[in-house]
Amino acid sequence: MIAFALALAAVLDPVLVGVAELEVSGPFEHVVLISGSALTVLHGPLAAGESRRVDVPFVGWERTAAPPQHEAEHAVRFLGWSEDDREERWRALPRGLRGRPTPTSAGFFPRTRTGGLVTLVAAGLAVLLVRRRSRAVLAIGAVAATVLGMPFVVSLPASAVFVLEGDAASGTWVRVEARRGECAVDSRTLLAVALDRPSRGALETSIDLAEPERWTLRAPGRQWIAWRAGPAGGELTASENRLGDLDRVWVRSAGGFFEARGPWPEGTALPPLRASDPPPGWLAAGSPPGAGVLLARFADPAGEAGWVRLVGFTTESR
Amino acid sequence: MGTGAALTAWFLAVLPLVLATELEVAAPGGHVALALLPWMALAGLPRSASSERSNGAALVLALLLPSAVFAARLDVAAGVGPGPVLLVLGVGFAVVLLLGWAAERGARGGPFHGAGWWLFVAGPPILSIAVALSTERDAPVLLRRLAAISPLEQAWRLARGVGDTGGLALTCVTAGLLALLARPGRGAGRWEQRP
Repeated sequence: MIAFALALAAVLDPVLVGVAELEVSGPFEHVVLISGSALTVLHGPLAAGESRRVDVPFVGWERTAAPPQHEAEHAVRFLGWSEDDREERWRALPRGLRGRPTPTSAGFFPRTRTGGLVTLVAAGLAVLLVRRRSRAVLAIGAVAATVLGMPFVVSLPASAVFVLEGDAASGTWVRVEARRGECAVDSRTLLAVALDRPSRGALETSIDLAEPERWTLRAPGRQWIAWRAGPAGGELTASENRLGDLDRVWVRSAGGFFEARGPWPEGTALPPLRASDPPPGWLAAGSPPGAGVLLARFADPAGEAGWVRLVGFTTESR
Repeated sequence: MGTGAALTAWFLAVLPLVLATELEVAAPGGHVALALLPWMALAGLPRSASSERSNGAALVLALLLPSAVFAARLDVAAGVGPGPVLLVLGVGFAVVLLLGWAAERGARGGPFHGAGWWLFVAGPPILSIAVALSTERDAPVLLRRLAAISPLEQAWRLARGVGDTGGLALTCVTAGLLALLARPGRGAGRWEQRP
């Protein structure tokens, strides 16, 4: 796992250095484990005489194999490092799938709303018109500044962006998810987790002993990237979409340019060409040369920005 | 500051906000820094006493404030806490005021403000960028250190995510020194005695 973390460090800042197997004994409401600048909080309660074995992710900046320290010596016993198969599962992925650019920042940028821009320009013009009258000029500036300080002048970015990364040749899918601040992951499907910017700061992992496989990772102001196993049985071929409703679709042949299609409802064949905007640059940038590529956006990803990038896609029906 | 300069600064400050989605500014306080950068450059620009002055401070305030607040709103929406954004806004605003005040004094105080402005505000960043572009290497350390005391350089660093508010705050000293250099009456006598 350490070697895996270091290998990942070439691209991102890996933070999941290891998974420690602990035995926790009651009574306690919660236990705090300290590892450098990272905290892990185990939420109970656990009654007196009760004990539980739990896998705890060792999250931190320090890439050492030292077990985490804890403030309640009597409550926690370090049993060893968990021998999970996460690294093997990661290495089993097609190499091209592992090396694709992450959706680190794309989709997290706020957009200026037309109303905000119109207010800004109108205020500038109005100030220009009355520029000889100080009070009027200041009044217009103050009103415009008040309006432009309101939240509705910008559209908030998505709190999460995910890309379903697919490899048509092997039929493998990986869900790469970028989240701001807090990231809840299921340890059973998690392949890797990292922070997008090399920086130090407070990291916190929270585990509820009632649901120990669910880890909540927190790094205020930073962006998490989590790789999870993709949906089983999801398939996208020119003859049928078994992945989900897609509202924007772009297809590129091995030597061509991206051409817009869609929308592409689930259960139907690839729709014909249609005029549309080009695909987002950050999504198209990860397309390897010499291969057919399909890029798409999910129609209703439950409030999240969901995208698809399938390499090896052909428009020929199977 | 004349109407033309104020409008130019306003246009240059609004432009990155209009293009916010394309620019994808990720640095904390980056939008505010970009919105204040043209004002720092143009409010402190050396001018002559006879330069056209419209409604001076009121005009600058009325044009600067809405765009700076809008930029702050974008930064907050991008996930930066309101505290750091307001700090960049406050410090940047203070730098603009000080530079503008220095320029006002300089307009009545002879050539010292102009020389100081080129030496400490505009010259070093321009020169270090020119050296870096032409040699494809970093500018010499001395030049980079000199550039670091320029408000323009610090605002630019903030916008790129490699600077900090402390660096920008230190440039208040640069702007204050410029204002001192531009003390009215210093050398003014000689200039005013000309026939």
